[in-house]
Amino acid sequence: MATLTVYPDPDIETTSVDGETSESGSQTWATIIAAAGDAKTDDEGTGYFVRIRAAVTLNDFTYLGRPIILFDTSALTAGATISAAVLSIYGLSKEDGPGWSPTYNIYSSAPASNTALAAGDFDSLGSTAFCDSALTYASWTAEAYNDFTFNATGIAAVSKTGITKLGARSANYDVAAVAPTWGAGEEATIAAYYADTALTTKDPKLVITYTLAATFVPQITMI
Amino acid sequence: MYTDYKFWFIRRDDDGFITEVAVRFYEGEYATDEGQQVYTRTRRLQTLDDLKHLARIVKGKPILKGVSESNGNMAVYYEPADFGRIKTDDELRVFLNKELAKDTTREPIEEQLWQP
Repeated sequence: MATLTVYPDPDIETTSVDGETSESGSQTWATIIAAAGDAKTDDEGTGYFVRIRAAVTLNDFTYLGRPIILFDTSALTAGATISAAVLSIYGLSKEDGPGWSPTYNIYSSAPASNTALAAGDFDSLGSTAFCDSALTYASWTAEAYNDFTFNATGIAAVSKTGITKLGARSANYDVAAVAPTWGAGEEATIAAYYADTALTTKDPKLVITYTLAATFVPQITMI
Repeated sequence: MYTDYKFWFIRRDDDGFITEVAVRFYEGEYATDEGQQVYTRTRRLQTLDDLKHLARIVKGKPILKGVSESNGNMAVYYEPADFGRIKTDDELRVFLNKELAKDTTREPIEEQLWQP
């Protein structure tokens, strides 16, 4: 079957943004996962993918990150039947001093803009997993692509005519609403490359396997 | 002034051969950030005026193949007639680095220099 590999566009975005949103400040786990968000980064080549950090105040947490990644998948066209989709994120680094062993999954996102993130997009991520198996912290690999294979829900979320809007969360802590075992200043972080890198070898990518009922005829315009 | 490209999409057929590619071109500058030279894109290049070095002359007029993103922005469109029968991203990068080198008003970023 044919495949379409799509990439977000870098800052200065014109179509589909990628980056990280976050909430910071000492607060309980229940409060931080329900927060509106207070920061965003959408113009850096590398950054946190999902970061959890404990505060120095007993049982408080001071950082929770949720990345948002958009793809213009309109080149699929309405007649496409999608059989598989894999989101690949190129790992930069990881750290888990307290041994929290977070797991990570992909969810829907709904940022206010397709071309720029806002801090308030932090609370726009869904909670229905797009992969049957969450990626474990142990399996997150630096300097290699980390693959998230979509289930039927994830495949259904791929837009055939517009923008596919994805995000990531810690499945076993953030989505499950279970606080990691607190330790002053402890953190578990995975970091990644985003589309703003100068390279074309480490961008986030979405590989979609599909068939078309009729032969695809590209709409080519002379510019 | 510098220039670089990013992929929008790469389409492959059942056998893994690349059949279509859409590419976004940019203009940017290097700036020093904490002692390191960092490339920052300042403008997307998507008109014939910006990309005339990629155009073909047909009946005396320059033309450039483009494909429209979902919001109307134009990406430059390539097909096997342009890059040949290839399968890998690396082969595609060699072709695109060569395309980037056609720009006489901007310098390709270090990562995308064409190596003859």
